[in-house]
Amino acid sequence: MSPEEIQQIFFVECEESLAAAETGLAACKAGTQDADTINAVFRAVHSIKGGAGAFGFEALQAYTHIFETLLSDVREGTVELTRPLIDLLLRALDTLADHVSAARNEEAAPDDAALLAELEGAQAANAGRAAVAEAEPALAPAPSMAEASDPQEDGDSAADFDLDSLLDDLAGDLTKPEPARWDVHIRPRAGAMKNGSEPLLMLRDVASLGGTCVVCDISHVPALDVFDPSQGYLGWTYSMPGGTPEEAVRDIFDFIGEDCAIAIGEGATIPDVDIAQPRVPAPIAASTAASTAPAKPGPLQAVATAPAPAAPAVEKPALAAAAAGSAAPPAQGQSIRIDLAKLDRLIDLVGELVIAQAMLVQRLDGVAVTATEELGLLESLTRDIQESAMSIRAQPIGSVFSRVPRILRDLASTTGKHVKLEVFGESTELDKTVIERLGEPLTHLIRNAVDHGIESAEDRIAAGKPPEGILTLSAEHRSGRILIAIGDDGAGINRERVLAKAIEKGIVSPEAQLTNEEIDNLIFAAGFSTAQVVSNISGRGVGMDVVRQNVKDLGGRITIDSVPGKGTTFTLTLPLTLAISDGMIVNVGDQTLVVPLAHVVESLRPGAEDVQGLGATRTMLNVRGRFIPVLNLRDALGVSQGARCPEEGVLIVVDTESAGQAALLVDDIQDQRQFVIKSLATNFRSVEGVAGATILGDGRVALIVDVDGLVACALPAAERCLLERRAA
Amino acid sequence: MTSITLPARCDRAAAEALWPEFVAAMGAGATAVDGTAVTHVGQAVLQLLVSARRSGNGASITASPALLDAADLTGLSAELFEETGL
Repeated sequence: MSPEEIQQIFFVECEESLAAAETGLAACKAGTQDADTINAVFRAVHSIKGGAGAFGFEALQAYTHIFETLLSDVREGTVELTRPLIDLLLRALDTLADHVSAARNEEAAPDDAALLAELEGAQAANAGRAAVAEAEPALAPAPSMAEASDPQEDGDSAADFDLDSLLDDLAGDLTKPEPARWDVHIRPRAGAMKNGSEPLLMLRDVASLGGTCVVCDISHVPALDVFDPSQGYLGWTYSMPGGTPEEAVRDIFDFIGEDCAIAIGEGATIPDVDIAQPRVPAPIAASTAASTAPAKPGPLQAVATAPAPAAPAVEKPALAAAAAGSAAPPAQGQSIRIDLAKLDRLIDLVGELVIAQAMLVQRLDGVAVTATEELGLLESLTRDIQESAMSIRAQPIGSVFSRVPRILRDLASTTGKHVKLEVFGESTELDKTVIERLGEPLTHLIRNAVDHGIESAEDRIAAGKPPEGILTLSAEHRSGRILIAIGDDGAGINRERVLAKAIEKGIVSPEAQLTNEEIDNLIFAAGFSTAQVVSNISGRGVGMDVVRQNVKDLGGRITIDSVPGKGTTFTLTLPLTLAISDGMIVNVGDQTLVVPLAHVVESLRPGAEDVQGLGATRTMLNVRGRFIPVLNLRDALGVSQGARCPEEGVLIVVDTESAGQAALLVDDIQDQRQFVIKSLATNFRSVEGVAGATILGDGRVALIVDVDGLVACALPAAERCLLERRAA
Repeated sequence: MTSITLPARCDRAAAEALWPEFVAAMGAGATAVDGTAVTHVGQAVLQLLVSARRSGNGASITASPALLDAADLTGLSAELFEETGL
């Protein structure tokens, strides 16, 4: 693995650490201020610092050092975790995210001088208070001691003792003896120099804590001819100032784990050298050493005898010490990082496997081979492999939601609107690609909700609402899709203003009779904005149409539910995966089409009495007393042949998010199976009513019907309401 | 005397590349090591230099500030730069 790849892993870990710290601080803000929570925040920042040091990101390391120092004081209880301090820590975390981003993109580090001063100020102020708090109890008895200064009354010894103690307390560190220095013994192993890691950077950290090198053990460095550049031969003893916490030194080596043995404590020495798989076999090394440098004792022989029997005795406590600070609980299960390209390749191959399986089934059908059991097993295994492969890519949506508090903090500082965030279903999992592409539309929607949806504190109080607005984020799985809702408790969409603006901009004609839903959807029109003042947050009218396009690109839909005075909720309906889905293979004329199974409610061959004509073109289907419109796929997709009336074909009742139910008329149903989604937009261009394409078992390409888009387009809401009313 | 010039970045990869040069130079008297261009040095090259100093006819090293600083940090100044009389 190259140093660049290792560095990428570091940045991925930074993101995880930032998310963990954000979660921890949010919990602190909500009132959970236990040791575990504070420790988690500290560990997260510390882990970034460790990596920053190892990779030489000095600005990032310097910043995290000061941030971490304050967190360390909070952890140790010397600084009280107050609400203003939590807010400061959250701001510090935002700047830390900026630092990480700057390091990642090789940009200039953010200006953190003011914030660093605040962090140091918070630490100093609290340290000052702590000193006063310590001094106060000592000062309090002073008057009584003054009164008791008569040695004849109270006795010399008691008064003298108290005075001494008082002086000691007041003088503090000035009269206390300097704490004794202590030693840390360090032995980097071969692994400490691999993958771009560099022990000297850690030694620099030790030196920055006041450590000075007192011993460098070079006794294990072999002669050149048996030298192996990949091994670690040097060991050090650093003398640390007495006030330096042992943990601070251990923390420096946390990041590298067992690749660097350290030993601290009475009687400890530099951990023994551990030379793994020497480049040259030991006997040759010994003879060469003896012949080339007879005058130099020590190091040359040391190579041959390096794995000394005494080593384990010294090694065990050192390794235990090294492991104590960093070892993750083994019970949590193991994980590995995989290059995303390899995972994508696996998913592609699974897709091909699905196609190959379909081809095999079709071919065997064609030659009348009956292998039902084996084919069933193959299908079941293919499905299991596909589900396993997809689950590898699945990630909890919490990783996207965790960025929202930062957005809200930034918005609060620019708009003055303070918003409380409520999150539900953050553990809901969906495909990594979907997660990655969800960030932008989600950010737009949140900015929009705060800028346009939630009223100012004064307006909210006037409307009888609490001054702080509430933003609700939720995610859930529903029938093979994922629903993400972004809701606010603001004023709701002002439909009169939206309509007036749309008419003014020529988006709709003044005569148009629009339903509430259609008026709400006008905000997705390109260039639409009702904002009176264009701010840097929103109001330029470029946000919402981009949001809809982004969601559409993900194969999803966005719907609005707005109640005046109560708030607005945007619901994003997204596919769980962009790769493979279940579908109904249908025939329409000479075309084979795929209807995604997630939309299918039922299929039926209607009798003459189930179908009712309305006007010249419309047909309604009576489904157990309820009328739903019939949509002929032949007409909708412009196919030249196929069933013209419901009696000639099969009706598939489908459910849509935005346009209710409809019955799709097809010639017949061929099969129901998995299909691999291939993007039409990437390979050809996007087509209205078509969600993509797939390859059938016989190698032909079939179009995937965009059920929602097709129904919503063919049956506008106003016409649909009218039809349903008339049919009923 | 063979002369070996150290690159600016003396990391483990550099140590891997330099090691054969040092071995080859061993038989030709003391090695002169020019480290004046070094801007970054890691443990791997430091220990290679220690090995070079203590093998064969030894080595004399001319150091850059970065190399001097690294030697100072690691307590190797005397080992690497003091005259040995070789």
